[in-house]
Amino acid sequence: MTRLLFRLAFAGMRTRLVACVLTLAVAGGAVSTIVLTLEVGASGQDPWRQTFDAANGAHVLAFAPSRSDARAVARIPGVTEHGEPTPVATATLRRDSDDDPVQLAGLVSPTVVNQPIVTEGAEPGPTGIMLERSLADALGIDVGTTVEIVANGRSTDLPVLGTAVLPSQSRYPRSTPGLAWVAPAMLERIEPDRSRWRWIEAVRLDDPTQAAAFTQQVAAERSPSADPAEALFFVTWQDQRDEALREAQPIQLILTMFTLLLLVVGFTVVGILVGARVTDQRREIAVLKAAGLTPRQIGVVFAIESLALGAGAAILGFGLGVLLAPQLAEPTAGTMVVAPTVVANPWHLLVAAGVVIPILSVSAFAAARRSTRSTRQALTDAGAAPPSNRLTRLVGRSHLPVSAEVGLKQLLARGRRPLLLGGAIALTGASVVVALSLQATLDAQPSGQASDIPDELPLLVYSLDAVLLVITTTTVVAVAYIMVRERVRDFGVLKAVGLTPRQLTTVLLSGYAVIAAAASLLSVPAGVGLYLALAEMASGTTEDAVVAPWRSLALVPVATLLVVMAASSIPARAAARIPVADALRYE
Amino acid sequence: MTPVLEARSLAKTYESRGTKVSGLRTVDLVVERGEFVAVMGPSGCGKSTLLNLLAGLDRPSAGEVWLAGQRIDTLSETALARLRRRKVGFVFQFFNLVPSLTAAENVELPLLLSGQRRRKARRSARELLGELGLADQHAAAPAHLSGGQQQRVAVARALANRPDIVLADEPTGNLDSVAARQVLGLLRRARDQGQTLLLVSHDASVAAAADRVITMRDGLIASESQLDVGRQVSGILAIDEPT
Amino acid sequence: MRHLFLALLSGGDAHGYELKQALEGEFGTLLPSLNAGQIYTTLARLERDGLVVSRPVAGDGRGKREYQLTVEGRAALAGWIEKPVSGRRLKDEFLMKVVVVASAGLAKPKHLIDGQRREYLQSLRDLNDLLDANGKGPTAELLLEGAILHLKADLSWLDLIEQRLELVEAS
Repeated sequence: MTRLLFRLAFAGMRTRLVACVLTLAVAGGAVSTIVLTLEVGASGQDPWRQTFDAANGAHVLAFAPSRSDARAVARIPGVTEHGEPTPVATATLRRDSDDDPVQLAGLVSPTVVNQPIVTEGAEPGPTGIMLERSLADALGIDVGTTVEIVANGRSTDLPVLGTAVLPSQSRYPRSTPGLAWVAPAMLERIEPDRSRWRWIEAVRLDDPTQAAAFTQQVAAERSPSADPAEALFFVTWQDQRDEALREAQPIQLILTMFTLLLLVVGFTVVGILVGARVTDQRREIAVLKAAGLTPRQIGVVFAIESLALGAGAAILGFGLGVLLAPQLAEPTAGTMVVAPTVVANPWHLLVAAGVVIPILSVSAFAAARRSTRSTRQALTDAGAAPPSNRLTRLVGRSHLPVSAEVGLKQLLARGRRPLLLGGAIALTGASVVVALSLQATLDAQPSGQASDIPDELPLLVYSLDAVLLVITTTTVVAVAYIMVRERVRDFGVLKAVGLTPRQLTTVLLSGYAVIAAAASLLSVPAGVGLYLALAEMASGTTEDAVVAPWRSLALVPVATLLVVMAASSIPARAAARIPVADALRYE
Repeated sequence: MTPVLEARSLAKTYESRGTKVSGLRTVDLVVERGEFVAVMGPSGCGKSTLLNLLAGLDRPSAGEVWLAGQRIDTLSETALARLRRRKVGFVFQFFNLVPSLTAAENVELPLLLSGQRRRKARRSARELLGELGLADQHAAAPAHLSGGQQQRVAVARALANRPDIVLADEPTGNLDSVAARQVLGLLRRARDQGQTLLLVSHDASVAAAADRVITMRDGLIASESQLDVGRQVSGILAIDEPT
Repeated sequence: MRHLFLALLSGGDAHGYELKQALEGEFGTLLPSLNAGQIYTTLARLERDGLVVSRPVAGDGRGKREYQLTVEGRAALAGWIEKPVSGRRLKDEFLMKVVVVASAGLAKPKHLIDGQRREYLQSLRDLNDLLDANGKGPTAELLLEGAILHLKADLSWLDLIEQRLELVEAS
């Protein structure tokens, strides 16, 4: 019995190439976004490790108010390696009219622990300055140019001699202020007031896993001080790593949103396709039922098919996600010695498949059950829906051309499917609105001031929008084809009654025009809402979020309408060209 | 007077998997105004092909089709559609009605297409349905009508525009004998009111409702029989002679 | 007709005219009109065979007689009721006509077939008209539909004859 069900499932698959490819695309898209979400975070892990090793990274960084306090930390048992405390002072980096705060570190030579890794040029020497690489990149400062450093109201011009990275410093401007190194004597010159210095002691421990415990121990041994300025402040190596990898957060957030969108669209698309297939194969299904298959088993046939497609999609999507993740994690590389790597964690595949495959199967099963449960349903699906409700009467009273009226009534006779299709179109439109708003938010930032959002993000969002767009457009085409196939005989009758090919095209298109119009109008508020919710989640406030200007928002419904019309006009034309004699014979 | 419909050396060959199948071989046919002609023959004899060609639903491989003095086999799809909506009415065997429209809307369709005002079309449709005994069903969906009722609505739609000719392809093929007789009765009544009809059927007793019966075989007209109207019958029962 | 009379008499004694009326009431115009001679010949034969007995109707000057079923008559009726009617055998003049006329070269078979087809179609039409006319009892309707079915079979047979003859000519 099970073998039979399997064979039925796969026989169906071969004959429905378009539907299968669509399902594969939408499920693959969902899997790859899930995998990307998981992998983007992970792909920076190894590079950070390498950076940490190369810098002889600190297991604990202690920020102390005085040199002696810093030194005291190094004397605590458990410390295996330490260098001289590094002095830091806050200054301002002035370019034209923009001021950016910067931490100036006195580069004590040789630094034993947490050494800056020079990526370009050389160390600052007695007269120059070395910038942290992401700071230099963000501000567009090249090695060899001169920068103006301001502290205590005095300004000093320094040549930029090099750039470096440090595992404890995450990407500017996510982490502000930025970091720069000068010689201790130069630090003294720029900020002579030593009370404004802080000291950093970087230590390595014999047991790195005990870093957190170590900091607690130090804090406990020190007598509590009333003055917060006197307090010690620690950063463990885990904190450093988490901070560095937090870079992927906005990307992960966007990816999560698109995962949800894709899952919803996927659920819808699979529901539409399976429902249509059941209608299309109702004779076959009737035979199966007559042969003794229960509606449940028929549902299982379709679920098996979706299961197989889902498995294929999982593998495809996993491959895609794994390969794309390092590209998306690129921004993290600004603070690391090597580029992000491919992780390909099999658990990520399992998680993604575990989400996507059940959703697909449930959608297929439910659609099949719904369509097979009653013969009455089969009758309505065969195109014999009772066309009596308020909407149809409204259409009847309108002064539309006959062909448009017939088209709308055909659409209304369908109920569920246009609703689902409209939903998919609206979601796609909404995702475009999100992308536009994101772009607008970026554009609204004053030039030169680097934003919290990595530059790659809008590109990512646009790509994901494109994926959604392709899926939705293909669905529109597929549904239009399905509708044409279901209605070939009706078209034959309409043609025989005297509808011209052009009018027949109108019959089909008018239905889609209405779905698309309603859906695209809905997509604007939906998209704006989605974007604001997203911004709220990302930065805790919607203050900085800029909604795309109304002019580009107005373009979304227009473009959606055009795309849907263009997509459905291909099958509509094909339908209009079918010879009536063939159409009437069509089974 | 020009005939309503004329076929001149009409032929149609179908291409099926590389081999040519001839559906119709050189058929000549003239239908005069007011005539009721039936084309009869076994399935595959070419009668449906002939009907489709005459209606401009299909293109001939050779020959000409003239409808109301106009050659139609050379017209464009659009021109054909325009011609059909004014001059040709159709009744098919299956799926005659547009399922998403009510019975009345189906009948209105050809009227609206030929440019009639909505209100007037609605009134004519109601009237026509009433004449055919379907006054109560005007707002019903086709799916809620019986096969016979659907077919009567289809006849109403075919007649709505008072077309030059009504073509019927196995109009009773799917009906029980009572419903079939009703539909045939409607067609006959239309003929009595001067409507020209061409009916295709494999069933001799349906074809015999016409004034002229054309028998087709192997894509050719095999014979033609002109029938008389109103011949009285008596004594169809034979009784054995007493022995 | 003998058995029909026996069946009619089983419901009670009757005279000849009553039997004629009963038959006409059931079959109407479908039956060729029965003349009195036919009826009385049949009844006389039934009496001769001992299936019915008759007696004069009292007070009727014209010698009208009333008929009554005998025991043998009831037995004969029961036998008839039990026995199925044998299938109709072809008693077709047309095929013989075609064969003989064609072999003698008197006319083309095609001509004969066309004429015959027209005749059958005409009959079909007449029967259909009759069926459409109102006021038919259910029995009459069944008879008409039976006749229509037989005519359709005849038409099909005509097609078959035509095809066979063409085959013979072709070979």
